[in-house]
Amino acid sequence: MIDLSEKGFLGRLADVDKRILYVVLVVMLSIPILSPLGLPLTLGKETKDTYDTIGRVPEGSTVLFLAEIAAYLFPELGPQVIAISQHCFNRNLKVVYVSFRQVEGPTILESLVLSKLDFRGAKYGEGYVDLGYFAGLEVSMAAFASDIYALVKEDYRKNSLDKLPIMKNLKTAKDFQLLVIIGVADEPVRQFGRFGIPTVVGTYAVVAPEVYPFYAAGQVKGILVGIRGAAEYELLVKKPGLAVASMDAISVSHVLVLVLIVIGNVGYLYERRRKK
Amino acid sequence: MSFLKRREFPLAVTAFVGFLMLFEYYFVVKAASDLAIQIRNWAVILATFALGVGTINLMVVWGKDIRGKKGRWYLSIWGIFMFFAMVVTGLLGPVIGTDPSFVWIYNNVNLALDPTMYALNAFFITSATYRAFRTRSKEAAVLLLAGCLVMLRNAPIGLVLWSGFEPVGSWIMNVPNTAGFRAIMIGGAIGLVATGLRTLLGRERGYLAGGK
Repeated sequence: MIDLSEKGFLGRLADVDKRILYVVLVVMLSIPILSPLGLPLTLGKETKDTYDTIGRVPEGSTVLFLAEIAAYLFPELGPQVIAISQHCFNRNLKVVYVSFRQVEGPTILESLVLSKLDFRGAKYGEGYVDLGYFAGLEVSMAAFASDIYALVKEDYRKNSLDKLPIMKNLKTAKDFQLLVIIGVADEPVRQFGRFGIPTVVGTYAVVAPEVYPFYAAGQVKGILVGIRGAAEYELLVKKPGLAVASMDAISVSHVLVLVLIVIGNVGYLYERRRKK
Repeated sequence: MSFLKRREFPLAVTAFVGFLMLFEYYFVVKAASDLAIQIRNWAVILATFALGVGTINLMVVWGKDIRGKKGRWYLSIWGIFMFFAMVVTGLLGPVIGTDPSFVWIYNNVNLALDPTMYALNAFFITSATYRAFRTRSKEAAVLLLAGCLVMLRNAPIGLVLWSGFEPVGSWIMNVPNTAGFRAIMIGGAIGLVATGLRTLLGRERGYLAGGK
């Protein structure tokens, strides 16, 4: 018979010291790093829609790529940028990279993203270009969308736009055939959505729920949700990388959190019953 | 008093620019478009200068901490040193931010430390979910259940445990989540329209110095 006057083992389950939780977390996350589990990964509809949307864009088209990566977001968004960029180059699409939110975006693009891509013969200035960062968030997006040459005089590498063949026929946002948004989506969708360009979004998992209304409404054709979406896309473009390698750790951490939620609630409900 | 110093001047500028942007959005008039494009580019220049103002402000705050030896003031010295190290190395070379010394500092310091600090959230979230996700009420229980189902949908191990987590998790994201966020976004947009109209008509003066 359980002694309800004392807390007992079940009651103490609700008050585990957080240091014990931290140690358990470190130990659990070490397991897939030392010995990968290789769990199967299914393809979500949102990721498939992203892949199909980019697959439907005619070869030779130009993509506006908002690479809003910061250093702290690179583990989650970096693989998305790399995977989608690789798909674009696989399909012989031209890519114009620009950043309106993250001042580090161009720096990370140049040092960590472009070096990992197979450009399939595309040359800088002809097949892709990095226009850099423009301050002002929605104002700079609106300025870019309405007249690119009025805002942008040279690219991130100090080349005049007139000397870049890729920029020859690009005057406004309407001249792009695809918009890829990596990061927060609502501001770019507001500013570029009215031009009717097919849009796909890659975002971090915390922000993904607020992109679903755009997806349901058809304003966004596909979503990559966090590192899981990046892992699915890496497998689709046959370029497994950081995201696929991280999925085992995601599984372990999620299971641990669920177990802790159950343990905490068992202890909580026992204590509540005991106090009654 | 000169008109430029009176409070009506910034209100008039705000109203003019605001109504011009609205007009340019809905009507195709070349003169209005050209002026709107020019004003938007000025705003981008102002925003860029705001980055500089923020930096100067940071230097002032750090300087005050060092002078007054407040808190961990020695970290402010390190902050100022690293700031100027990044600025100097970043300006080297023909293109800003491509000098090997800048790239080395950025890749080995910033890119190592920034995600590490963000990853520390894993510990806080683990501890917080353990303590906060309690079934205190029926609504809390429903929220908890929905959260667990979506987590199992996102983790590959969910598929190993039960194939039904994928359709259930998708339904939660596409139906109740979308409905809830749609309501929030529409409500927010209506509030934004109301606030914008008040700003354009000069009723909302919070952006003026003193707010009056």
